[in-house]
Amino acid sequence: MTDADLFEAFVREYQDMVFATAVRLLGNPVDAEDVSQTVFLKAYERFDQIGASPTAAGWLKTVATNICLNHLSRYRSRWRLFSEMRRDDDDGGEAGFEATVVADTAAPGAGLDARERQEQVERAVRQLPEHQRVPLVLFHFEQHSYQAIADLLGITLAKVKTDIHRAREALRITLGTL
Amino acid sequence: MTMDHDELEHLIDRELRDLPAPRAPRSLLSRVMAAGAEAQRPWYARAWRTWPVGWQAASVVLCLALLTVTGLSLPIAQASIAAESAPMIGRVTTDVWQVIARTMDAQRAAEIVWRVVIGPVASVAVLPILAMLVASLAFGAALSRLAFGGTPQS
Repeated sequence: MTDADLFEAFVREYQDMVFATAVRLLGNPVDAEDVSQTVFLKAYERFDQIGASPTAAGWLKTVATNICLNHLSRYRSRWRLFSEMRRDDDDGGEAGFEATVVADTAAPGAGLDARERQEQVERAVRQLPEHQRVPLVLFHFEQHSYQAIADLLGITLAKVKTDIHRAREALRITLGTL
Repeated sequence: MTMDHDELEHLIDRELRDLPAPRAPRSLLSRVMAAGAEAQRPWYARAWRTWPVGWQAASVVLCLALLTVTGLSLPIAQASIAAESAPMIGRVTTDVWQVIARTMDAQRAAEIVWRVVIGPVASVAVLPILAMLVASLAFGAALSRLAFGGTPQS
């Protein structure tokens, strides 16, 4: 088996995992595919070290997360600003956002089969604003702690908790049946 | 419906953990393999923007040096070429001027001949010549009709 074959098998094994991390963090499949390609090219550069390593999956997830956050960093100042504005506008603003998300999704609730429900949840996560989606994904999908998320994003622990809580509330209202 | 933080966290966590991982698009594998093959080529055979930074800087410096050398040597080259080609250009110019001068001499000679010899005669001889031409045509037509019994063929 040539190196190219080994690397192809490596990509086949991990491509869904890397893409899932990227698409949930970025909320955009096109950007997620670009980021995934970059991640695997970095893996290719050190394939002799990580190709057969048991920590390859963790390494790929870490690199994917960092590249996604770098990708989003150009919007981070705006993201912080909006997040702070929402904190100041806690009583009125959030309801408007939730109403928008509810209106964008199909009628939630009973009668949906499991697959449809999963698609709705996935779509609802991607529709969250970045400042809520990113910490939510890092917490629930990537199993980061609140403190680790705060360190990664360079924001306060309290703000991480607030953003994640608002994201959960938005998901709960969107999905209705939770 | 109100829900405390822990309860909400557990509910959302359970919901999200049930989600299957989104599948990568089919194009991803081929894109990665193509990019990997590209990465295997030597750096100088790849696109310039992917070169190592040091080589990018060196190539920029080299290009600037080439441009500078070209810019500085251009006037010298021009002067050298001009010096080398001057005799040839001089010969060609002389030949051209000689042809022009001869042509003008011929034109002047023709004008003199016309003015001195042909001009005075022509002004007097034009009418008789035209009359003789018409008479010749008329005579030829009459002769053709009498000799051949019809109109001339041409």
